Amino acid sequence: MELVKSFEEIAPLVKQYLKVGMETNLFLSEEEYRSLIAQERLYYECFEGGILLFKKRAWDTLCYFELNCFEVPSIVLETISKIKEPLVVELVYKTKEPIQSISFFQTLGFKEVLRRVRMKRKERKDFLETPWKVKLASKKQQEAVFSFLQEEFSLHTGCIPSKEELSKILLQEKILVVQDEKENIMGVLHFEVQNAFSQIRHLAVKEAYRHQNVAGALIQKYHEITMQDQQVVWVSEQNETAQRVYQKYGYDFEAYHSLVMMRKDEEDGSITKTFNGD
Amino acid sequence: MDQLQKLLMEIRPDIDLDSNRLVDDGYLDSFDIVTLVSEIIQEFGVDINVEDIVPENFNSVEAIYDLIERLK
Repeated sequence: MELVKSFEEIAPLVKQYLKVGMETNLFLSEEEYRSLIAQERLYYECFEGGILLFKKRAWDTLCYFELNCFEVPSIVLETISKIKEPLVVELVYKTKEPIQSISFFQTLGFKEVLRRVRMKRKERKDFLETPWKVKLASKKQQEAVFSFLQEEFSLHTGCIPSKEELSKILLQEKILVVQDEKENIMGVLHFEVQNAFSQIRHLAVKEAYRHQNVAGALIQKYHEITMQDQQVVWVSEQNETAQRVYQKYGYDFEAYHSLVMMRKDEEDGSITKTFNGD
Repeated sequence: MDQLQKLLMEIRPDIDLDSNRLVDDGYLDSFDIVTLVSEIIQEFGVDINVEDIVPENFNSVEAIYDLIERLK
């Protein structure tokens, strides 16, 4: 596994495997490559049938791939076996499962930890009154929001932003919160906007405040802010409660699915320990 | 141009071929673009670089066609 030293080094390698019939989850832009390379967080392993890219994160390593051949070469087995931190790969697909890639990662010891489906807001429902006041999270709340996300979402599958990323997100005013009378955070909604799409990245309500429509208040405020955009959200296929909430606010299922797989030493049982079904 | 339009219709049957916001309006997502790029490389025999894969090169049929012509 090599550290990627420049965009000019990696771009031709990535291009080499862009062929009909390939399976991939590699949709990084040039800007994203350059940023990861500058932070020395991107590694790669190139082999005859494809390329694997490894993005180092605070708690684990995320895998990107371009595969033309689905037999696992010994060099890849060797590289993967040397990686001690948890490895995560997300396979996004429309309708048909990428069975060859799934099998490739299973051979490398990855196990399924989460399936998600994308929902899109198709109907604008009437505004429902709630007693909750939704506010934009302030820079001063950075630590509280960070702790909240860490408590409510899985470290490996929850896409929790780093403190640095969170600081930027707060400046961009993309985090909404509902607080109790002591200003403790009851619920958080984090969203992002790209082109004409906006996406809910995180939505969670503290257990003690659930079933009081805190999530509904956050969703409605988010709709108000992003009313010009197409609004989408990825929801766990197992989380029927969340799916019903989104349906109540006009969302419907799309053909996009995501399968998250993870590889981790079995001894500490962290695959199941960290998966909380969010 | 016909060949390109046919390709786009195969990838996204619901596509609006007259739109000049194919990416911005969500007719083409990252997933479709990567599929389209691999098809273009095969069908048109051009080399598309990673740095060419930006929304502005895929926002309209004309923009995609221009990209192919530039790379020929």
